[in-house]
Amino acid sequence: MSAREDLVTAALLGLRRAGADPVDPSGLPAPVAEAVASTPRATGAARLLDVVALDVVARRAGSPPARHEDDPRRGPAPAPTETGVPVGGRARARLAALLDQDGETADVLVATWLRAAAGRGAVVPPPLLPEALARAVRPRGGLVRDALGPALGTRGRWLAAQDAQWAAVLEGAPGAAERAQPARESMDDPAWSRRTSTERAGVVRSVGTAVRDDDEERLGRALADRAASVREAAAGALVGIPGSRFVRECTERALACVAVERRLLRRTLVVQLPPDDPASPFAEVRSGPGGRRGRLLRALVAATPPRAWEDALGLDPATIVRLGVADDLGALLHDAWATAALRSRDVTWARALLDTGQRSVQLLGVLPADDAASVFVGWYPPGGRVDRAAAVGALHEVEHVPAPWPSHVVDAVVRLLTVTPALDGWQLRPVEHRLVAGMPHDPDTERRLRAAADRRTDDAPARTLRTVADALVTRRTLLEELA
Amino acid sequence: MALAPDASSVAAGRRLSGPGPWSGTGACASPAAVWGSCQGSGRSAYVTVVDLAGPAFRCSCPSRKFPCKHAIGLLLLWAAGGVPDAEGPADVAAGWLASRAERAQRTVTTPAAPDPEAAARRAGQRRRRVADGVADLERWLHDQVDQGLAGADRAGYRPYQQVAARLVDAQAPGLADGVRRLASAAAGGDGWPGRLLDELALLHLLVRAHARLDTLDDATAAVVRRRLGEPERTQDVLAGPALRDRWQVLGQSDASDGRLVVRRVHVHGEVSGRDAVVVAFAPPGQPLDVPLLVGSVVDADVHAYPGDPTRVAVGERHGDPEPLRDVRGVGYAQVATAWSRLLAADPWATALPVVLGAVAPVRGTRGRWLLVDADGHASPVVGSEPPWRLLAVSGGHPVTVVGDRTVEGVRPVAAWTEDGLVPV
Repeated sequence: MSAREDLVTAALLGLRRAGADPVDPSGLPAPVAEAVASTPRATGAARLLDVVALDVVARRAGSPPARHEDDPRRGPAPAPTETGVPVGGRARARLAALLDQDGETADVLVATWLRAAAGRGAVVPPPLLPEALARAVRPRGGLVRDALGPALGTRGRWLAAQDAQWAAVLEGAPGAAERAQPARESMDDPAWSRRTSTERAGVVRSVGTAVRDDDEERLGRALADRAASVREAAAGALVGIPGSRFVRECTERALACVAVERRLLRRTLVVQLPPDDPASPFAEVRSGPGGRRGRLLRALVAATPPRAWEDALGLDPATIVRLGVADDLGALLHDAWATAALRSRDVTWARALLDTGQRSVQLLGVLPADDAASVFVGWYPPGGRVDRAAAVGALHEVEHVPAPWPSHVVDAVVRLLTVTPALDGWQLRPVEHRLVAGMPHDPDTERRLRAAADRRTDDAPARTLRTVADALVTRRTLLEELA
Repeated sequence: MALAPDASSVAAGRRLSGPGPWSGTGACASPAAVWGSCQGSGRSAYVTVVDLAGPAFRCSCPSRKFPCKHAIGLLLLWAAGGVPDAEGPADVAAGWLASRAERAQRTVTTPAAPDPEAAARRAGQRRRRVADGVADLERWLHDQVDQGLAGADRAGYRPYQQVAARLVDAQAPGLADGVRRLASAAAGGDGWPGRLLDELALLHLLVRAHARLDTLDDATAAVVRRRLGEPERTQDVLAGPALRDRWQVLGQSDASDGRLVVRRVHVHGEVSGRDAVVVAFAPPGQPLDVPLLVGSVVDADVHAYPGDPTRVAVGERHGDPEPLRDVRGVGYAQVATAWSRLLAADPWATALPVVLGAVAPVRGTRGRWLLVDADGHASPVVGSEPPWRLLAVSGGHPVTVVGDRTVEGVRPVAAWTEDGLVPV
């Protein structure tokens, strides 16, 4: 035991127990021992503390710089040279300021900055990388995460690789197609069935994000997996292959359930619920509202390419969606058709469904931008009466109209924002970033928002209008700074 | 932003930093000022003026925060280029700026007139109280060691708080801080007995030094007095010998001990190569007034604090600040020498400002980060997190690191890279 450890032990036990003078200077480093010898002699606790003090200061002052061989280099090889274009001082300051702000509006602007930078081959300045990466890996940082990958640059990718959490941003950097490739390989791996079901389901889902025709065989295997979650993931991926056997089977079963009949001189869709099938690989059938056979019908119809109905019923989409449906199953059928139209991005069906007055807002994203805008404005025309709850709902929905919004959508949004009685701040705050993301940033739009704000007293809608207008100015200037 | 009293003021200021609410704005260079009126929720607009030389703020709003959100918003607007330049101050600003200039001249000319007799009496009283407190502390320290430290790791902060409170009463706040530090040493996990004993011994050393204060040389006595917590008046420091140099302002770091925010600004003499810190204190929420801009070089006199070998006060300036052009660091050998010299002068010192040349951040075993130089000398990086920003700006290549050499390793504050000076 070293002299120093003796001293610590003595102090730990207490001098009353350890004996009066446990100090043996001969065991200490030579300079300390000499110093101890030359100090005035004290007794007991004072002497112990004196000696420790000399020792600690000598240790602190006298320790030579460590050699790094003592702690061998395991750390990163230096980063390769940056190939991306550095951004200007103003653009850098802008990003720093945006990263400093919290909230989803700032997220939208950060993502705009990152996309604009990546578009011209520019990269995030190195000092801001830690903040940008930290923002991207936040629970709701998806927007920033997707935009950050391409703007990381050589240095950013190097830095992200140093931290397990940040490395996730790197995976997001290539497109879904690149991510699906390793997933395919692991599905073909002989050790596939030894993985946990959660892992298998995740892999199948990532194949599903960029599904190809030649995935049918491997997804078919997963359809017979022992875990329900994997079967459901496989079914979800298979419906993305229109010609697959799985889709054909679903189509047949769905078509068999629906027929056109003439009742009371009018053509009506008569629906026969499919026979109960507890083993069907649809997550929504396993649990959900309503009866299980109804849920199965919904899943089958949703998996059926909408065009199959045209051929089977011999009618065009606009006619089909206007037919009456027996037994109150119309809502279910329309809902399932909307899902199918959304997946196949079928413009005719999407328009036909929207024309019947169905408010499946996600279908707006299927339509060409102009049509989507017209449909949305058609729902909330000038002079139309909208209550507060509906206005808030509409302000959430408007994000499905492809950005940037044309001026009549901007007008509709302003009308919705300024309904009477006025909306409250808590209702408006969650929509602010949606408005910032969708509005065009030309000076005219900004002027219109400010004019609308000035027509009001200083209430929550006026503040929201000003906040959005300010954010649009910021977006315009940040794009100028990056240009 | 560093001027803002708290985060909510920054957020509020940012909301006001758009051109929307502002009118009648202007900025001029002589006197350096920005002004404008802000339309708030009230009927009349608030008139805000910022004197950029101070900086000082005036606003007609009733906010008790200082600077208020209007001033912060105005400065942000100005920084973003949203304020037009003007020839001279507008009427709303001219009156206040003129009175400020006048007052500044007045304060320079009126010297304080202390009463030497009263001062001596107060000093005597103080000395007696401190001596009482120190005697109590010495007995307490001896008791600790006599009874044994076992169990101190589970005792919590209470026993130490009581002793510290007694020392505050005895006007020895330095010793009180030392006693509070014992609590964290005891609660520090593995190896705590050694660390606690070290801290006890250093406190004891201070107690012993206090007993022999009259026999110590002047420099050591000054250090001991400061460590006991005796305040050093800035006037006295500024009256001491001046050290003129082109001082590079390299970094600043804020720390809070719960009652005070301490800002340390690292300055480095371009000619002398000397590193020092300028320290400012403020209660939380109040602005910290350090008239040095990080990333600039000022030709100025600085005066060393007799009781604190690393601390200086800025005296007379000889010219305007210039931008920083080059920062040169030293090797580990020189840092080791300087560190030994510091501990010889002040055995209680825990931080030495250093500029390390050409060191690269490297992950060692046990996930610890090290700063390694070309010869393979290394020092651990101190801090709660991996040094991400240092890693980002260096890319693992050698850079010049500005920081503090502490007992455990180097705490980086800024890095000098091809992009210039970056706080880390």
